[in-house]
Formats: sequence, C-alpha cells, structure tokens
Amino acid sequence: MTTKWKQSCKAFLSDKMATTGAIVILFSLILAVFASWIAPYNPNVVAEGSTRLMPPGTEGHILGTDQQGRDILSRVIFGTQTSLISAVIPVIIAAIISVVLGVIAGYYQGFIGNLIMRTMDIFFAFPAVLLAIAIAAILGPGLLNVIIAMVIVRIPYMTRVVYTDTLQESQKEYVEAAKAFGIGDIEIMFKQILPNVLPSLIVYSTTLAGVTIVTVAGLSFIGLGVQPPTADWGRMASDGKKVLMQGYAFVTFIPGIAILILSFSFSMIGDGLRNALDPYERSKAKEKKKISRKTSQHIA
Amino acid sequence: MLRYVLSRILSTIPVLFGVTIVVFLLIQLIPGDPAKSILGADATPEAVEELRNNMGLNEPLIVQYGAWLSQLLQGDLGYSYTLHTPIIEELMPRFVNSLILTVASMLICVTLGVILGLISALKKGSFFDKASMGVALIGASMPVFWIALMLMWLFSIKLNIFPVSGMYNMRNPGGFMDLLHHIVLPAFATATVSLAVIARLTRSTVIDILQKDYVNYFHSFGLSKSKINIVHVMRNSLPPIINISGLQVGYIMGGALFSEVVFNWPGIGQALYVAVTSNDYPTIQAGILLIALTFVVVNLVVDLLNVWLSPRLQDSIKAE
Repeated sequence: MTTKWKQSCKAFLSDKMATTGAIVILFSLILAVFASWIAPYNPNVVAEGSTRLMPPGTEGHILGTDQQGRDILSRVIFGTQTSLISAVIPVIIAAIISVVLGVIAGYYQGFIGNLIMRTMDIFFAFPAVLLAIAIAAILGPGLLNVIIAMVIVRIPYMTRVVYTDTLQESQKEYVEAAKAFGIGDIEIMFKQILPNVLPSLIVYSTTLAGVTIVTVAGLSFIGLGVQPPTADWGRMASDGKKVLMQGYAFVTFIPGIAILILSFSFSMIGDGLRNALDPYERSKAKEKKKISRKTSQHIA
Repeated sequence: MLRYVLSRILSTIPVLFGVTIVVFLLIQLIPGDPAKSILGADATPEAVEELRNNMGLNEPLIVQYGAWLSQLLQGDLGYSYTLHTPIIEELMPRFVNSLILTVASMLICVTLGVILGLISALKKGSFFDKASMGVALIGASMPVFWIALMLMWLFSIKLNIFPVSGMYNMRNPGGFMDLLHHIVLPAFATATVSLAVIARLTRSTVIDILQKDYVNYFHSFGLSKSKINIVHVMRNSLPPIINISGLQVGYIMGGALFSEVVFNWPGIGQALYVAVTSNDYPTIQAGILLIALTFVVVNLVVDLLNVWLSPRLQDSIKAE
C-alpha cells in the first residue's frame, strides 16, 4: 500500500503541468488566507474621481483601478477567497453524498439501485449551469445558496462515477470472499469497496472543482452569488462590462484571467492525479515518453 | 434495431415525467411563503391569503402538481409576474432565437473542432499541432461570459467589424445577411469551450486510429494517403466524435445564456436572466422546463444518430 502511494506521489511530482497547478492552488490558498495582509489596499474602498479607471502599470496600482477607483489587484487577491470556497466546498459535500448514494446503488443494484440511478438520470436532463442558475435564483442571492445549488447540480455526475466503479468492484472475488466470511453489508461497502472507488472520485472531484469555479463565476456574473461590495471575480467582470463599451477592457480582462488560471490549475491537477493513480495510464505515459524519446533520437 | 429505437424513445417518457416533477418542486424552494415574497413585505395578510388561494398553495402538493401538469399539457406555462402576459407567448419566439444561436454554435464547434483536431493529428508534433492544442487546453477552462466580453471588446468596439448587440439591425433589419452579421460573435463565444473539447478528442481519436494495423495495411497496399485519411480514418473516428458532440449540446445551451446576456440576443437565456434579476419565478420555471425538454429530445436524437453511424454498436444491440 505504501509503495503504491509512493509511486503515485512520484508520478504526480514528475508531471510538470500537475505540479505547477498544485503550486498555483497552494499560492492562491495563501493569498486567500492572508488576503488582508497581502493586499495593498482595502478592496472595497471607493475612491474619488482622479483615481478611477487607472490602467494597469500605474504606480501604486499594478493592475489598475476599476470605475469606482478600487484597486484591482487587491480585489483579485480577496476574490480568491470566494472562488476557492465556492469551488472546493460544494465539490466536497457533493462527493460525500455521492459516495453514499453511488456505493449503495452499485452494491445493492436492484430496486434501490434503480431508484437512485433513475432519479439521477432526471437531473442529467438539465444543462448543469442552467439548473444551478434556477436553483440559486429561487433560493435567493448569496454565497450559501450558490453552494447549495452547486451541490445539487454536481451530485448526479459524481454519483454516476461512484456507481460505475462500485458495480465493477462488487463483482470481484474479494467482495464474494467478504460475504462468505459473513461480514456485514455496510462494512463491505464502506470498508472494502470504498477505498477502491475513491481514487477515481478524487480525480473527478479535482477536475470538477475547476469546472465549478467557472460555473460559480457565471452565477456571480448574472448577479447571483456573493453580493457587492464583497470582491468576487465573476462580479468584477460583470462590473467591468459597464466600462468595456468605453474601451476599458482591463477591468473585465483581469478577473477573467484569474478565473482561467485557477480553473486551469485544478484541471491540470486532475489530469496529473489520473495518470498518477492509475498504474495503467502511468505505464502508458512512460511508454509514450520512451517512444517519443527514441524517435527524436532517431531523427537527430 | 427497430426494437432498440422504440425502447430508447419510450425510455425518455419517465425522464420527461421526472423533469416536470423537478421543475415543479423548484418553486417549493422559495424561502418562506411564495405568496408573501411575491407581494413584498408590505402586503396585508388578506392579500397574501387570497394569492395563496389563487395559486392553489393551500392544496396538498400532489394536487398542486396535478393542476400544474394538466395546464402544462395544454401549453399553458402560467403568467409572468413582471410582464403580466402568458409566459408561452413571451418565450416561444425567444425559444426559436435561442435555437438559431445554439445550432450556429454547434455548427461552429463541430466543424472547426474536427478540422483542427484532424490537422493536428495528421501533423502531430508540428508547430500547428502544439499551438492549437495548447490553446484548446486553456480554452476549455474559459468562462463563456468572459470570452463573449473579450470578443465584443476586440471585434465590436476596437475593430468595429461586428455589431455590439441584438439579432437584427434595429433601424434597418436586413434578413439573413443581417442575422449572420449579428450571430458571429455570440455563436463563437458560445462555441469556444466545446470547440476546444472536440478538437482535443478528435486529435487523440485520429492518432489512435492512425496507429491501427488496418491503416498500415492500407498504406502497404498502396492506397493514397488522402483516401485512407478521409475514407477510413475519418469514418472510424466518427462515433466518439459524435458522442462528445452530443454531450456538448448541454454546455452549448448553458453557455448560450451568457452570450445572450452579453450580446443582448433576444433568446430564452436572456429572458431567464431578466426573470432571475426580477424574481419572476414562473418565468424561471417555464424557461428551465423548456430547455430541459429540448435537451432530452436532443439527447435522444444524438443517441439514435450514434447507433445509426456506428456498425459496432448496432452489432452489440443485435446480439442482445
């Protein structure tokens, strides 16, 4: 077990994209936690006329100021807080619920399994973003409601991943052996099967966290989610729209880049984890490297 | 085969039924008393009670659902709180406009995605391959509203090539060409993320197939390269590409909302946005229902198309 984890860690660390992604996430976590110390200005203080819409590169305001004279860098730094919270928390809650639903559905199958999975099918009939918007809109604006909406929207996808894996696992010999030993269903499900199902769920959750950042930014963009004046990237882009027409693109451009970097980092970590946790993928990746090295030597 | 098609069509019925239940239950999520939140804080208890009666809120949930469903089956989606008009009259023309945008975006992401992926695969390792796949990798993480705003800034405000908003020129509506001129930016904004996903999948699929023995066999047989690539490689790459394109429909429909909001495209997404900002719950409900119903039908069509184009799937169905 330990060597397996060691190998996976080694494989992950040798993946440059994935480690860069991890470093970026770690860095943004530090920004989020220590925002009040790191940010050069109060992100919500509105300034008078002359300091409005200063372009990036202005002395004292590296990323410029928005139409209310607020320092964009400080707002981006504070924005990491809501972005990380709204990306990670719903995914974790949804993962916990999905594990229970997916493992039960996959292990018992039959009526219970059908009931759970057919209910999930109904949610697949909605484009995820739109369902999230509808739920968040009806619950009312605010970060908590966005988190609830994202949990509901993510559960079907994650449950399906857990279900498919559990289905495969429960046909394996160790499960039969455990049954023959008279071990209870709950223990088999959550002590024997679960550890084998977790790796792919972790990979999927990481990728979903990246997608969730973008979705939540979209919700903020249309006015759901965190309410002003709290700094939020989606909201900043939406505010920037008002001055975009006058040619001030940076007010929108910068928060968008922040969203892109964070979301992209999560998906890179997800890809890295998938390769690292799956021995087959790992050997395939190695093989590919070998082949490409060989061919490049050959050409040289 | 016919049996599969029929059973697939029949299998959508419980899903459609479930969709109506979910959409109906959405309204139950309104915090507190819906009648109170509609009328506002100053409403008298009598007015609230009257509205509760009118809305049928004093009936048991199942009765409310039955009444709502029977109205729905007669094409009655209720009245908008803000516009005070039947929602169906407001949403139907918008539905068509959204459909136009969605189809245009699908056309862009599928054709360009497949072309980019195919060229990248055939020229694997070249500058073109590396550049386009690098962009595709990042492109898949971009928020649609941001792409829309950036396209608007570059092509409408800076370069003045395409209009900033709307579907037709307000002063001088000019038919199809006018529509085409207006749709380019919103359609591209909606398509970008899916384009990136399709391009990456096409590339990896084609590369896999190029390494297959039968392709080598055709080469050694002396078949021309272009014929092998177009006839055999492309034909065998189709099923996964169609599959992923089908999955993209949901993203496109979701993304269209943001493009519609940014470019003021008079579609369902924009109506939903207005409804969200004004707490017009029946319109939110109707909009999401309409989109979900369309999505179910589209998924059905994609599934059937998939089977029709993939002989292997047909065999496995026959074997069952």
